[in-house]
Amino acid sequence: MKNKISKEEIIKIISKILKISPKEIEKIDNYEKMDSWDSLAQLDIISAIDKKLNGKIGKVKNIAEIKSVRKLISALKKKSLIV
Amino acid sequence: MIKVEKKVFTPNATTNLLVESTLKTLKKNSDILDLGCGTGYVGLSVAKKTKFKNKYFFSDISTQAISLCKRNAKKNKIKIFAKAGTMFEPWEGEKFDLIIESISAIAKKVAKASPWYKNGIPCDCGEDGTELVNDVLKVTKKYLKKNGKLIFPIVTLSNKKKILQTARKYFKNVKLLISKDWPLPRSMYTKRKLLENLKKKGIISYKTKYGLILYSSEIYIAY
Ligand SMILES: C[S@@+](CC[C@H](N)C(=O)[O-])C[C@H]1O[C@@H](n2cnc3c(N)ncnc32)[C@H](O)[C@@H]1O
Repeated sequence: MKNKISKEEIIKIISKILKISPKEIEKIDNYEKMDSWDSLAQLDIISAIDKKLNGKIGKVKNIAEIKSVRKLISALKKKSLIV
Repeated sequence: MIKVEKKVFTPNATTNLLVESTLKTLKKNSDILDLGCGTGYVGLSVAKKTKFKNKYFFSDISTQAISLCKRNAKKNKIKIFAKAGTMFEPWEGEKFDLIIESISAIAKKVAKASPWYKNGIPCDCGEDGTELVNDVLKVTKKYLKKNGKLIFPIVTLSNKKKILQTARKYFKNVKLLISKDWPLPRSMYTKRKLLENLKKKGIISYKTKYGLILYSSEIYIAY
């Protein structure tokens, strides 16, 4: 479990930062579309996930460009960072 | 609550940090000056959020800003005194308990490339962004009452070292209140070369993380 994160945890983080229910986040997927999303929220999302991964998020190239839950999970999976 | 206009600086992330730090420092029955007030967001938000009865004064070089600030105050039913003029010029002979200073301080070329200083918003603060703020720091004491304090931001898209040196020369105590990193607006990434050059010369500072360029806003208190 160490240095890994689950889908639920990712959604919880995004939901907390964007102040939108986890259900809604999953449904919308592309969270860039949300009014509460901006580049600062994106930084907060990446930082919070990185904290859970003990600084391993750098393994994912162009992480700042990813703004979809599905794409995020797929990119983290490729680097074996998903539980 | 606060109206914005094209020709007046739109409050940004640093503005909110100024409000937050002022609220932590505020004392009752104070005369407070918002210097370089733009829309008036800082002083008006503080007035709205505190239960203390204080007197609020505002100035900015831009007459459009002062006109908007007055309308914003009226809309929010806050009594203010606002004057247009450069730096401390409108306040000759006056003294304040707290001065919140946020006159433009950003390296000239960065300001030009940024979305913050469009439509002629005044920003004549030199190649390294320090000219106005350093001039303000040199004379602020003259406008502070005994035990008066100055709150000011340093955005690292200016020469932080030079500003801090001046602050420490003119004030016994200069303390960091809050610091926060912000991602640079995406539209500025095309100017990466320029930013790297300015960083190399020590004119600005920033870090890169997760492929993002992060600059910081730091809020200081001086007395
Ligand atoms: C960074 S903005 C801050 C505005 C406002 N405090 C805020 O945070 O939204 C800088 C302000 O300084 C004003 N300014 C620029 N040069 C000035 C000068 N020489 N004297 C007074 N104000 C000036 C600009 O018009 C602008 O409103």
